[in-house]
Amino acid sequence: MEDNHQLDPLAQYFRQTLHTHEAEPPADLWERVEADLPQPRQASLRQGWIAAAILLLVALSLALLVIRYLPQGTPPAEAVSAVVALPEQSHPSTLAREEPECSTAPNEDAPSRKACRPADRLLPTTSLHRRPPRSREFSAFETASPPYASFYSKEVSSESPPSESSGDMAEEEKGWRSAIPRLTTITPVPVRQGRNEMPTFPGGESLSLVRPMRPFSGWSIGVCLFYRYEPLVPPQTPITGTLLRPVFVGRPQDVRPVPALGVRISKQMSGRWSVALGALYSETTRTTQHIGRFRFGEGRPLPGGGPGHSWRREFSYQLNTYAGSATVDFRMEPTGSLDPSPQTEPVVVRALAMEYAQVLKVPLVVSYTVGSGRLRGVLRAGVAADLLLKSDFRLTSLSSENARLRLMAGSNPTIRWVSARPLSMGYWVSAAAAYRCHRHLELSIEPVLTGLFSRRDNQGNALPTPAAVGVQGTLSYRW
Amino acid sequence: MDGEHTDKAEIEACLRGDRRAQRALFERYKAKMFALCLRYAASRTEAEDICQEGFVRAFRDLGRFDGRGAFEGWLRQVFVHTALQHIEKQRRRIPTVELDGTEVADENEADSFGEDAPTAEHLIRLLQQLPPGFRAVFNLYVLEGYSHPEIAEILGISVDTSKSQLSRDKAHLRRLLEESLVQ
Repeated sequence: MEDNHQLDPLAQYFRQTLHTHEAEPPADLWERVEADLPQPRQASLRQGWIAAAILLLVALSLALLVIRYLPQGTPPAEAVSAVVALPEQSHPSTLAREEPECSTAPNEDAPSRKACRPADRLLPTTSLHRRPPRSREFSAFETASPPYASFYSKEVSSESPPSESSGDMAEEEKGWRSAIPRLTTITPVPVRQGRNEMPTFPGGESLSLVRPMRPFSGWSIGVCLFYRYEPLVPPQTPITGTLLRPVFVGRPQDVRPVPALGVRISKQMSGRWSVALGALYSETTRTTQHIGRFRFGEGRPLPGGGPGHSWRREFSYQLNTYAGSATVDFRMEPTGSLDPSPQTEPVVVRALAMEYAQVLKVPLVVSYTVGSGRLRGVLRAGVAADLLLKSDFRLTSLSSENARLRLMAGSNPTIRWVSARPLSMGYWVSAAAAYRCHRHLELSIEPVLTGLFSRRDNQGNALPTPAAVGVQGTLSYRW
Repeated sequence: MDGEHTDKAEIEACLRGDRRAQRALFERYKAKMFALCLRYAASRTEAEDICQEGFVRAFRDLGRFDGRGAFEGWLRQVFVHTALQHIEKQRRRIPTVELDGTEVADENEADSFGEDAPTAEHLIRLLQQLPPGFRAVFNLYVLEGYSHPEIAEILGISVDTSKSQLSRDKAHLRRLLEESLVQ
């Protein structure tokens, strides 16, 4: 390249004026460039999502296993223990308020809290106490049998076998006896209570204490209403070739949330973790305007001869669709036969299409409950399968915007429609606010992000994988 | 230089397929590149097509930029080659029109436009009236700084043809310029 050109003044003037000249391109140029750009990162992003979802599921599964099968030997120091409260003989209205009765020995068959219930179902709980703070002395006994366990085994139930405590433990017992002088006067009162019955004393009086509740099985079932909104379909990979504007850009005409109705079954696995399986049915009808811009010369010349025929061209373009791939074929010709359009004549074609799809979304999620009380938070993440039950595509209109070119007379445009594969896998992430309005009923509302990892039509062509955001409301019954 | 660092960082991000970085790079150079496209194209619509294809090609071939020279220079080369390919495609479709009736003027004749100096848009409109091949020679020689042997190699023409076309270009432009100024 020569820098020192011998330029005449005219050329120099052109150079000086135009070398630094800038011109603003049309506003939609980036959209057109982006439509033509390859999208390799989408695949890796998709792989990243898949990897993240798998990692999340593996981590959650491990956490569930650890929580479920971890040995439950020592209850935490803050564990709430039940106390057998017995009236004193000399002071019937006074209830003992000191030592917990429960055994802290490891219980392999039941959770730690159940170990604190009276083994012989003598009395229901009337008062709750926290265990004394853990000290060196107590911790020495917690792994075996605490001093007060043997004490109660003597005092509360006269039929229980004598304690096998050692000499040191006997000393401890004495210490406890002196510390709790009133308890030494307790006389065991036989109280009988059957399953789901009120406890009764020998006198026949019904003790109106806490009514025993049937424990929950952990199952729940709910009905869901899910409104989802899918943003615009991302442009498809353009057709290979020399075409400059090969893609019809789709503009949805009726962008509105799509309702889906369904059910969800959930099972509490352990503590705060649960697993839920749902099924959401939705029916979608979308109207989309597809706009294609290209050159008349880019079409295939039609076979056959005759005057004017060489100016007739056939075009075949792919449309951006949701539930499959649609290719539209049409023919164009100049408006006047004596005025054949040049090859570079721009063509703008507008196609109005209607798309119909029936989808059953089946999310399988792992849930983690945050907080306690009536209002709690629930985080959900998992996979979702999209089952395409039915899909259809219809072209309602096709028109040319160029006055010099028109759709060829006597030749109707044709649509080649290939439906998407019936099963596509995706992801589901949501965060719910759950309100327990009744012992068995729970109402939750949750924003949801869901999408598909990949989608292909029945011929194996890749389809766009739009993500959807939405809100789901669920009313569930637990038992 | 800060701009170069920004370019390098953006180029690396573009190579990873980062759409934001691609958009940023596009925004930075779109005005310059579109002006270049306007000079090579016969119309604004055609310039839009060249600009679109140029950016697509630039992002696709970004890995070939070795980072030794200025990025803008490399980008200009991509756009020039895209424009030339576009012109070549057009030449195959539409037979080249010869510039008849133009006289080769004296190259050393001074021009003085004074206060009525035509704007860049005006000059571009004049350039767009040239036949594609002639326009390419003028752009390559006068605005891109290529030599006649280089132009001959790029366009697949002889050196003499290149020189001849440039002379005709200038004479034609001079006539068009005079006509436009008279009007």
